[in-house]
Amino acid sequence: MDIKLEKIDDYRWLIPRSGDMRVPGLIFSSSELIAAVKEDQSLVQVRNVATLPGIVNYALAMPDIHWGYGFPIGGVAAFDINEGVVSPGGVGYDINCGCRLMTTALYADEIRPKIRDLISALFRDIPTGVGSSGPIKLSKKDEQKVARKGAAWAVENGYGHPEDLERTEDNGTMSGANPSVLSERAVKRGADQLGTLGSGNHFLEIQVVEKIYDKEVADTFGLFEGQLTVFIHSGSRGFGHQICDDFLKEMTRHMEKFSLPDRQLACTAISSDLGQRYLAAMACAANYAWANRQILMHWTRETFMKTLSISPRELQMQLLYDVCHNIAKLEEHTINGKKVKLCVHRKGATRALPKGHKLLPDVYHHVGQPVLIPGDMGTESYVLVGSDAALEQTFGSTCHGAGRVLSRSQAIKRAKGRSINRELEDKGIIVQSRGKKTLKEEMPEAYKDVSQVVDVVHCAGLATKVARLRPLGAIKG
Amino acid sequence: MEANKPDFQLLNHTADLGMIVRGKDLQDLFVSGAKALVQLMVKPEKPTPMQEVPISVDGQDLTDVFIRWLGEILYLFEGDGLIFHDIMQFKLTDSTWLEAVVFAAPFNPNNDEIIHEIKAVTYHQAYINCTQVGWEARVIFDI
Repeated sequence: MDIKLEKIDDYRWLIPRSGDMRVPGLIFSSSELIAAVKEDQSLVQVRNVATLPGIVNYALAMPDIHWGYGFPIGGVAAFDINEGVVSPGGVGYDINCGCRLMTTALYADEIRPKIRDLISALFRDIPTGVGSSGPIKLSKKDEQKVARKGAAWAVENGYGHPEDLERTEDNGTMSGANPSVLSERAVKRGADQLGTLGSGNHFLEIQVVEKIYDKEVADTFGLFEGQLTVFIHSGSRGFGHQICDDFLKEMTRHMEKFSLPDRQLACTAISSDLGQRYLAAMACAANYAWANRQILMHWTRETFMKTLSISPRELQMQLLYDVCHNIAKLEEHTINGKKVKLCVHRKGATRALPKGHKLLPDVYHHVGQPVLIPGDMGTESYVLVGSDAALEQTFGSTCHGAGRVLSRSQAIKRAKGRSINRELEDKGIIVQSRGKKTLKEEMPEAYKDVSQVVDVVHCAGLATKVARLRPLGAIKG
Repeated sequence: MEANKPDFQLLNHTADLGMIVRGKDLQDLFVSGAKALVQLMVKPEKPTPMQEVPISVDGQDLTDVFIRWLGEILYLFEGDGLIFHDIMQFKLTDSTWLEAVVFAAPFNPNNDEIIHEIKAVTYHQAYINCTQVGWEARVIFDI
């Protein structure tokens, strides 16, 4: 399908409304990045999202947009809560896949000789890989508590500190969770996967703060040049995958009212019983993911202290922030001067609130929300801060990562005859992975240049750069 | 095609894994799809004692039944720790109702090599077509 694309300015591209589109599409990109976007089918997916009932303003895409299933990855769409729909495909299977960044009191230069030991210890202590299960075995009752309380359950059970919660989006607990709507399959899959990293693009990375762009905000975030940091990317594991699958399949049976260009866009009215049940189940998965990342952080703290033989005071591993990037949230936004309640779907997109926003924790109220953008394992990640422009243009959203540019089979072909592990070591990056193909499929060339992606959101004003982080070592599934 | 090997090819999909799978008839297509999915997930080291597992799915059309069938094979692995090996009984009614009994073997994490974590079988761009030589389906997995 040929998609008409009009350049608005250096960073915004419009898909004009046509056919059954209810709103136009708006893509944040650059001349360099948009070329790759035109190569895959993500623009068609933006167009398809624009046909959904109750969509408000635009079907949006962030600069890391790439071809997903149903919604594009990097997609944002907001729906009127009275007339609009909720779509599990607009959230994704890995509900509340997200990132958390921890700061330390350590200088990377001092720890560099121990990075290999740290990576080996983390690889030993953090369950990784396909279908991995961890040492936590949840009873049905405890699993329900995790689903209701999220990261708060983890802290109550000794995994971390109460102050971690205020530095987590929604304090690590999404309201409205109701475990009684979950299938037996979801409960079964969630019983032994809490505290596991997973596989694919999920990772735990040791990094160094290479450059500070905004000292005032960086000071508030607790970041300084040369500092050692730890970045975790994981989600709700099989528990979330099952919940998405259960509800998507149920919604495909109730699609008579909607004529959809792609069955994967299956949706239902937000206000319907099915819509409300999905949101209650999705909140359970969101909470599971926040508990998961909280536990992973706790074990990371323990492993660092044990491996380096240092105290909590010497380590000072503190949570900077935890953000989700696969979620649907009921939020209040201003449309044409009026405050309205919307269901904002972010699939591969990060919330980015400006300073002064009522949902920000006190500690960041005067600077804005930290935005965490991981790159690939060979290049840098970024910390940004939310802005007013995001609230005005993208329902307070920005990008979530670099975004893939090569398929997995293309990446494996490109990696043939090469040792990705050795290439990374040559760049000073120690990596251990569980799956034989993981490093090849996740090689740096498989991703867009995260700097270009971040430059677009920075220049478009959706979020502004605070710091750049360079990887020193990583574990992957 | 080598006997018992699924007839499929991978598609280039930026984020996920897609495949075109073929079968000489519908039963063959469904079995090939299941074997191809297993091949993408896990490489069992050696045959282990098999279990018989009943599977039934209902869908709105043939494509829906196929997606739900593959979803059952995925859950068999992810939820029950069983690897699909072959089919024992297969009955498809009105392109909307499938009853089958499959042979499956327990996953052994110490010996079986894991390949990919497949999160789900998606409906995105899925189809089943009757061709001049049999049947063909396309499916994209979330990975």
